[in-house]
Amino acid sequence: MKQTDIRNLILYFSSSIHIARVFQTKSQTLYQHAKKMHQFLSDIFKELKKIELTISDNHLFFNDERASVEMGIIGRYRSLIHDLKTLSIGSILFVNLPELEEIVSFLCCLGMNLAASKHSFDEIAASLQKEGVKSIKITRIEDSNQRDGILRSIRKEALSSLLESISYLKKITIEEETNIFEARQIVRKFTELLFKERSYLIALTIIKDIGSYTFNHSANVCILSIAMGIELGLSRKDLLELGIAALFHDLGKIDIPGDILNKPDTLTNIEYEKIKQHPYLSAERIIFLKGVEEVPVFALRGILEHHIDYSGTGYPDISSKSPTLFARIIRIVDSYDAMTTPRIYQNVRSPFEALKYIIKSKDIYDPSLVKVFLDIMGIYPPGTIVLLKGNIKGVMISENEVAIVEKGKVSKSAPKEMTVLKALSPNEVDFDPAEVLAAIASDKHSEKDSEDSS
Amino acid sequence: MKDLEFFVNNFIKSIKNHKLYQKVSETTKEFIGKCYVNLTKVQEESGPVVLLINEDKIMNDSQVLHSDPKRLTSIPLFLYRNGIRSLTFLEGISEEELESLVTIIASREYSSQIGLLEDLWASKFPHIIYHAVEKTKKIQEYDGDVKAPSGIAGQEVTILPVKVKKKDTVPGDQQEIGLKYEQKISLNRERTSFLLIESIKDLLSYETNHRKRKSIYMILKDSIPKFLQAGNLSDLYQTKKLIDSQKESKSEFVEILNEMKEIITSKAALQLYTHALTSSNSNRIKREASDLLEYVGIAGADELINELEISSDFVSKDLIISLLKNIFAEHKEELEVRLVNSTGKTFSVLLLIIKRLKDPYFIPCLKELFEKNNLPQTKEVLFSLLQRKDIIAYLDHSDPAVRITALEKLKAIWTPEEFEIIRDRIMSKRFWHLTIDEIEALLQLLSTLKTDDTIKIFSTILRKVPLFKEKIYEIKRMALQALSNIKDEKAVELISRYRNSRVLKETVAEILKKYETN
Repeated sequence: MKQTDIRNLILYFSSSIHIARVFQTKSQTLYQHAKKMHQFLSDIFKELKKIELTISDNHLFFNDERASVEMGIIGRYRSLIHDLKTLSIGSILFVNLPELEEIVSFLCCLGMNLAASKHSFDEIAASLQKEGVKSIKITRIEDSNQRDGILRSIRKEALSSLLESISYLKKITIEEETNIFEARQIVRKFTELLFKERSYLIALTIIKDIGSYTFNHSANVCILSIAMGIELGLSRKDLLELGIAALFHDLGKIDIPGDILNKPDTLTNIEYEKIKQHPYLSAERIIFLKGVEEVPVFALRGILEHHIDYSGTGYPDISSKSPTLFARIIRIVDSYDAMTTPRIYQNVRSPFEALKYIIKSKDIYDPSLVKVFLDIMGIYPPGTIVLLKGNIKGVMISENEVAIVEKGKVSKSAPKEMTVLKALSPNEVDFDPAEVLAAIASDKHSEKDSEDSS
Repeated sequence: MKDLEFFVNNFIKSIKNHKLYQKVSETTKEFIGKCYVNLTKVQEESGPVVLLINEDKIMNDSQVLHSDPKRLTSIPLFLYRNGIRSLTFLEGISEEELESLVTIIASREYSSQIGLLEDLWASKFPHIIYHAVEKTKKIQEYDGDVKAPSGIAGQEVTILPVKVKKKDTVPGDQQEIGLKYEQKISLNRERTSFLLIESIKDLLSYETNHRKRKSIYMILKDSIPKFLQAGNLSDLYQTKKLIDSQKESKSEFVEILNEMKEIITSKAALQLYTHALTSSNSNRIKREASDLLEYVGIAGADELINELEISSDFVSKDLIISLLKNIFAEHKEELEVRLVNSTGKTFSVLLLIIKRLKDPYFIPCLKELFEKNNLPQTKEVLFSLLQRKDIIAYLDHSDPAVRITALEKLKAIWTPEEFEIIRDRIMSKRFWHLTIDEIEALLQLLSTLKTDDTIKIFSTILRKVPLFKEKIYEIKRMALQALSNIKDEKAVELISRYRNSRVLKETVAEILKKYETN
């Protein structure tokens, strides 16, 4: 589902439920809202066969894809989750386009139950059946432990996949007979995980010290590039190729002597010429992999052109100076990850500073793609260490969630919603954000629902 | 249960049929149609259909629906080897979705053990769920396990909702970034071959390692048949340019380049190029096709000649003639042999090419042919090639038509050196016995040389006493007309002398009127 559709569905649904709760009858106002929702659903059903809205661990999923919610509708988003949880509804499935009357009955039923002092899932289910609502099915919410478990297992898998990718990249440098299918498997996994839990996987890219820089960087660029590809609506086939390009884009550096790659001083012309060869070397890495029946041409091009600027300058000196889509994506993501990584020859920038630089450099990066990248990363990208109101430090794990480390439990007087004051550099905290991210994939953390903390 | 068995059997037949024809043939469509009917029937009765995949059978619960011993062409074994353990078909599936599934399965080789899962994953069928097992690696783990590591040990990590202060904005001026991509974009896969060739060119420009260079060449070589199959002429043109640009000295590489050239100039390729040349509306494609056909060279000549014979489009014809001209310029003997052995349309086509070539090489052959067949078209081409000296020799030819042609050809190229030859002919007694056409040709030729001697000859002719009245008058009128080509005073004066002649006055009046208007 398109993100704009998801946004509209949240808006229509939450406002309709609100109206239903206020009027508690099949009022004209409710009909008007239901009509809008019916029209909207009929548009979506032209493309989709079913629409399923599921709550899992304080997040809404639409047809198994996690909703990415902008700040403007975050209130509606949370209110919708709260209402559905109150009614113990874990998922709503539109098996086909419901009639207008079905939508009205469904909304009215939810509204009346929300207004009542006692809430019963069974009663709602019985009412819906009685009212003849056949196109909309509801299921009971899963046990919260079970929900938490699902999210944790996704996060564990994300962390394992990251490690798996690095282990694969290391293997490539040692074994000649490495198979491209393993790389594709990694990309597929990243893609699935990005559909399910994008923020956490993006947050993991903050980890810069598993294995050597090149491997770590390659995996990070792969994750962020696929995230951009998903946002752009690329097909799975295209995402697979984009992921391969990103995973291999810098692997040619392995063939360049380390004393050139890590030289703290300015490079000599000869050394710089060597560095400029890495797009060729990286491109060759994919074509010579075992199992390549058909050369992934767009990946190959993306690698060759990933140091060509949007304006057409850059290296290497290749036939075309207008970089293809994959190259323009990798150009942004590659720079972002490199800038946010501490290196011998450069000062590390905060994600905020890195984004600022990318936005300003309009000749280097495709401005339209920069906008997409900003939409994904937000002001404080997942993984950013932040200072919160009350002098609390935490790690952003999504656009609206922060993981904080406190001795014991979080302060009882903690506000309902934490406020971010500013981003911090790793030197300003006494914990490693990577460890925090690993911890929230483990069993030892608590998740505090917004309504619980009030 | 019968419908379920029919469904599975038709499903298998669809796949095998698709594999056989390498496409969705009419028969494949028929099987898929039947398969779909069976499937929907079962779904109406019992909901989603789950097929369990075993090494040698396909089952539903414990019921065996299809069994096939472990052999290469066994579909259950193929699915099993690719890790698929079950396929579930949900209600609402369309025939197109089923056809896509069949296509994906059939597109892989029987022996293939990887790739099918990837294809299924990329397709994301809305009503087909596959359950599969995939080999996973034992990987390095983060500090031994995914758990809270020592740095934050003893501390609990809590996740809280967070909001960003409103005054915080995305760094930089976002307003300036007005552009935004459409919600859905996709790669233009039509450019795949073009980008492959570009990439190969780039890699070859960099790579010096012998082994790697060879591998890069091999990728290109393996791709050419695919370009041919796809019928994309531009890709073949780019490939040809790439091949031409390679300056290899190592015999091994030269050999590969030649092999590639062979594929590009194969019979199948030739038909594609000819078709593009004559049928495409794009000038670029026509130009590329022409270039490729020239690359094919003499091997493609007959195809082109044939095309020339049947084509009625003037632009295409002209292109082909130019092309053949270029090809035969390097293969004159080949053209000569073809000319001698041809008749009818082919003969005319070949003559046209020779005319364009303007090469005296063909004169002996044409002379011989002309003597033999005396065809006007042969004569025309022959004379277009002849030099002045050769043409003069033809003035004594026994055939008046040939002599006339020689006179006409001489008109543009003769010099005062040949004046005597022409004068003697006109002044001879035989002149008056020549055919009217030849006389006219002689007089017209004479009039192109503006000298006093010329006017004298005309004067002699005009003074001739008319013995054979009508013919003499006719010749005199011709002489006056020819004389009028010489636009000087003496000529006008001579013409004017006959303004009162009973038989010539009309001609003179006509000429003088023409002078006035001019």
